[in-house]
Amino acid sequence: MSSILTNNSAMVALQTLKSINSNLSKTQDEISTGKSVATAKDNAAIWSISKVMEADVKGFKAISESLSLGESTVAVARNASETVTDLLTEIKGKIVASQEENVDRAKIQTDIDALKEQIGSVISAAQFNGKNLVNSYDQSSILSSLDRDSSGTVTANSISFTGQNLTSASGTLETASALDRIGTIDDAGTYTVGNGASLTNTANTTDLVLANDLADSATLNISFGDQQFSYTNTTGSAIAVADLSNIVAAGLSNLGVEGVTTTSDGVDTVTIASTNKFEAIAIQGSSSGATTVDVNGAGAGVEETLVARAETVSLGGAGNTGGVVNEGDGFQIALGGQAFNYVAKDGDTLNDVATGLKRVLDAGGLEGIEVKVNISDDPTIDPPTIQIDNDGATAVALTVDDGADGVASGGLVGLDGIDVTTQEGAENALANIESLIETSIDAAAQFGSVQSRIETQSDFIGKLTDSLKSGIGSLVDADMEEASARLQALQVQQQLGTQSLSIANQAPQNILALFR
Amino acid sequence: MNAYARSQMAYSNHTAATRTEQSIEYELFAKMTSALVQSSKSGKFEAIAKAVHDNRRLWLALAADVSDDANNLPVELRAQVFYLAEFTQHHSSKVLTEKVPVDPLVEINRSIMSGLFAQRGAA
Repeated sequence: MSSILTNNSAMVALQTLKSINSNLSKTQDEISTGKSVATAKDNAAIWSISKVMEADVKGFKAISESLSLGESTVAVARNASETVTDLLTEIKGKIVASQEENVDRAKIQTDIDALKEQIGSVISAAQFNGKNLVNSYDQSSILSSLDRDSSGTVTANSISFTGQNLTSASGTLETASALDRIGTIDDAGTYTVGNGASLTNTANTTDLVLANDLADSATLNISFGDQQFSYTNTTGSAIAVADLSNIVAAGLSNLGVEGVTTTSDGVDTVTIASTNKFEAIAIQGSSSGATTVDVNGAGAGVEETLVARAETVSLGGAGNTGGVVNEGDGFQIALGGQAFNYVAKDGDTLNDVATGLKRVLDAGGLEGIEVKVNISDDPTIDPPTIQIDNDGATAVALTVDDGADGVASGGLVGLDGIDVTTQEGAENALANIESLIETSIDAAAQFGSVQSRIETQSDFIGKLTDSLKSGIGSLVDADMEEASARLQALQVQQQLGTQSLSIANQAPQNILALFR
Repeated sequence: MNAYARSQMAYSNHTAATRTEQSIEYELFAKMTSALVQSSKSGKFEAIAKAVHDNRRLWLALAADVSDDANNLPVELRAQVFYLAEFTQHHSSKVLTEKVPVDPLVEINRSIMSGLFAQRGAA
């Protein structure tokens, strides 16, 4: 048989490729096939397996198929996570565009809705062999090796990992067993577990009570947030408290602190009212003379805080033992009877819970409700807080609840509610899209690392392969180049003269199984 | 699976058994190769992963067969088939991680098909 495909130069090329085999066969000598028992002590596990190989190649097939299946499944999930990340980034671009007032927000929202739908379909399509790794947090494991100890016991080792739920499912909250980790902080700073509050749009007020006339040449100082009001008496005579209160009221107004109004009762009291949503104002007064300033009845010269209008919900307190969050721990904030839940997944911190709660609250699209999250640098010591403000005309009841053993919320919970048709919605969306993108990047990174673990495991398969190869007796080069593979393929094509590929052996026809 | 489906399967197995070994192999290769080509054209990653996995299983089965001592193929040919199986595993991983094209897999399969077809004609 003479052919251009089996000519001399091709043969020479193949021989060159085979020259690496001297090393390889040395390795094979070391890996016993059961005939050179002396080397078994060097690597009992591999020896045992190659011993098994003598009888059948089921181990090789089982592990290779398992790794192949696992690799494909994880690759599909990683690809889906990456696609979701790309789509979320596209949504972020739209949200950024919607920040300006002079744009067609409704049109942008239509684009965002289309992208949201696309994310949904990517996630539901991301299944391989019936297994979807991006719609639940279920555990998966892939058979990765079979180890035999000296007594002949076989242990199956596997690569385990959890799925990454990238749906926007809200999860299930179980309130039967209270965690006592969510509560409200009232204006006095007292934390109450599971307590409620009423959200109103009325201002918070505090009183400054002045005592003693301001003597000539004396100075009165009042620190007001990060501003300072200073007044020196240059009239040549003492100023009476009643007049002084008018001066203080006017002076504080002139500082121009946003959301604050000051009024004097014309006797001795200045009332400060603040409608600031999220900023508290610290107030303290002093003078170089006998005049004293008592803020909020705390005593002369004592610093007091005029709290922000928003109510504060804290994820710490009585039941917060070291800021621990377990999978299935659920947290609920209800506004006006409408409940918003976030149920933690494995690995969540209190910060994640707070961010998640903001996302679901924002997604609720409640009129007049604004939410701010104060992330903690160290949530185990200093729990994060959520501030909720109501700018609507009617009061809204706020209640909180929690419980263990629920079903975790999807990683993209709150995505459905992204709505940029209003200025407020656009601002919320911008804050929330970052944490959504972070979630999908984390998911992709996790799948990437599982995939590389599976690849590392091919090391083990390499050893099995070597033992099988030595069983064949002749070795071909292990240089995995496309070119040499093509050459080999052509050689095989030439040699398939009289036989079918595999079925020449008497063993049951393996290949028929693939038709099932 | 109900009795009806079972009885259907019994018949289909019967048909399979009357085929020559080469035609079974040829048909399998044709199936896998066309799946690879189709999925690659569609660009859907799920479909590509499925086709690559199925193709891998075929080559794993071949690798297992030719490494069996009872296999009657010439030793050199068995070694080469095993090498191709190894390459397929290797390249499949690359398709799944680096998203390289499936073309080399298709080309190799086609070579094997040509070989099987030529000898099927002779049989």
